[in-house]
Amino acid sequence: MNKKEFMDILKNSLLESGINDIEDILNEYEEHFIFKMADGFSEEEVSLKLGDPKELAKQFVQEEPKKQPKKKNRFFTAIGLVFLDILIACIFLSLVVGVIAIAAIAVSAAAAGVLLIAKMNIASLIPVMPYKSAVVFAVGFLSLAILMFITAVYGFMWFKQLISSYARFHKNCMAKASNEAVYPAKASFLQINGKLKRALRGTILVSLVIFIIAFISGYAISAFDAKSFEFWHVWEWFQ
Amino acid sequence: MEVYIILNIQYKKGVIELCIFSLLYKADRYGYDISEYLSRHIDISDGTVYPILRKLKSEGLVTTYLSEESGGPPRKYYKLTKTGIDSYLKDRQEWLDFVDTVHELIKEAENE
Repeated sequence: MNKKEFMDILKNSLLESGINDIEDILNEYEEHFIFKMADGFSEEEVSLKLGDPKELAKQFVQEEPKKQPKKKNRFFTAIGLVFLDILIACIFLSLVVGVIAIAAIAVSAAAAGVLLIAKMNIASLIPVMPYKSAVVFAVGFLSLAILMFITAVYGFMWFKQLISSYARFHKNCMAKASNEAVYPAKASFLQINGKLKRALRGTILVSLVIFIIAFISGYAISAFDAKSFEFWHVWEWFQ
Repeated sequence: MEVYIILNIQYKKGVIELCIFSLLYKADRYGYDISEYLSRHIDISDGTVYPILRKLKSEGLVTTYLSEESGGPPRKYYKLTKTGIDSYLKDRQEWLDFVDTVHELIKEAENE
């Protein structure tokens, strides 16, 4: 008897006996064939060692009560999941908006830094100040851009992980309700290797420090130049 | 004769269940692994293990979970539940006592 013949007889005998979840049983035997044949056995040898498929099918007959409660269980689980999905979708949506906002801050900070250094004053958006103040502020803006960029990337990766973790949870809930085997849960926190993690954290720390120093010293230099703590009045920024 | 055969099959099944429990008590295993291990030690056809595993699962003594192996389809692992562990420890002791008693009886009969 070859594999196909064995599986066909098994399937028909199982169907005749009115057994649930035939797929699950067939998969197990299918896998057995794959493993055995990988060890060099022929289809005929494997099916011979497995035994008579009709006899095997008979041995699966025994567990009939508890057909009804399972269906109900599945139904309620499905409804519960729909509501949970809606709630989670809202949370995910706000997370996406947050990540986009951070990315937007990164882009505009980078633009501001570049414009200040290049002395480009498009539409007079950039207020008047001595070039040395502009350079110091530009450094601050650029490090802010790096900081926000990494944060956005971090946020995006974490968001992806969350979605895949939730998808796995969703799948497992349904599998559990139908009494099928489940996959291991996926982590909901970020999975990046130690080296990359250290590099990212180092960059964040350095850019944060440069950002703070640049803005404090930018303020100090400007205040000294304008001889006023409120140098923006001296340079008439808001008039 | 008929009764004897049925009893024999039931008896064998019980022993096989005990062997499966003892295997799973040590570590979780996938179906093929269990079937291979048993057929290496006990004279049964390879296919018999799967109906037993399914029965144990429907009785809540074992559960299954899928594990993703690198390079290959996910494998279905069997794992003892809390009830499964309790049931194994009880059956194990019963079996050992039973074997001891039989052993004693045989020895006694031989000495007479």
